[in-house]
Amino acid sequence: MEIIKYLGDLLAEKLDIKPAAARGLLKLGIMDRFGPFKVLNQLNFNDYKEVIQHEVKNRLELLEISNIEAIIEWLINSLVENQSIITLGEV
Amino acid sequence: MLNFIINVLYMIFFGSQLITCIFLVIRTIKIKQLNLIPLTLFFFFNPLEIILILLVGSSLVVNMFSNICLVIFTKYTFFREKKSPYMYLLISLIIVKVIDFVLKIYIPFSIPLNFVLSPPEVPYFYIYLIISSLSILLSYPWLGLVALKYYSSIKVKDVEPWIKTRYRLIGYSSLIMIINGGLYFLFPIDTYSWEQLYPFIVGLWITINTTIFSVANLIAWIMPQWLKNYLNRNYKGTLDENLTEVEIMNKIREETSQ
Repeated sequence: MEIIKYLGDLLAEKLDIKPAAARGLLKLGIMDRFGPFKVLNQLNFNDYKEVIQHEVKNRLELLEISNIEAIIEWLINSLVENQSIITLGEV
Repeated sequence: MLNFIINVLYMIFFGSQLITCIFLVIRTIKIKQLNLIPLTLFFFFNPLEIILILLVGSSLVVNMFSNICLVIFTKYTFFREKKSPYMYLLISLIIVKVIDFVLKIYIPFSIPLNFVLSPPEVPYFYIYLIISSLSILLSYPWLGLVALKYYSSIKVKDVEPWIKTRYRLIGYSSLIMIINGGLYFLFPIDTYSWEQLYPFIVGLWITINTTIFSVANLIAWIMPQWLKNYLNRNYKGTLDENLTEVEIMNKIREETSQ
């Protein structure tokens, strides 16, 4: 799940939290959307995008983080920019 | 003897592409990444082309699709929802392939030629060479350049080294194919086999480049675990604690409130 690690590291820097916590947040978002039994390496670009736009956003709102819209937009841009890791890191 | 050397390289090219294709079929089904389908087809069409040439002497229709598949793979792996030259490359490639198709219906050109050209056929042969060269230049370099571009952007990031190596293998091997685009023009037009030294050297060079591409992609896509372990030997992996949902949320709350 290299893309989760990659985006988690970026999110950790942005929120000034530990990378493990940021990765945990992304995984919680995935679980919120797909349930606990979804195999992570079957997630594609659109799945990650939707998770960030909805579930990760909801979690950030629960955490009362400021500037959520900007963070989500920046995270989506990072996903779009580094989308090849989904394929090259999973095959 | 010279033919034998070329044939051995062709067998390596054929075998490595077929194995890569089978592996990608299995992985595509398993991980359901649809962008792998065009890449799988690319590695399917190339060996199929050789089988068809051997069996029926022509691969006219199959020949049209492999480079197009490579461009589609590049788009849907690197450039979803991003600006790219995809449509220009795709339309140009389709035009080139249609011209190639029509030209070959009238004169069955190949590299090397398997018949003696008549003088009126010579200009058409050069058109064929330009088309063959363009087929390469409109597909492989794009994949090669973007793979290396993204390699350089993750080079210093905390990404497993075997993945970085995969980017490099795909990038460099695709760029090697550019050389073939130029080598086609070095083939003498008055000869039609590998059996003389000069066409043999040119043919050997083309075949070596193609074989390097195939073997590099075989290693890149079907990287054995021992090689991944070796490439990762100095890499400290991340091992996440098994935290519950509440623990993760509380941890973030604590860290953001500090």
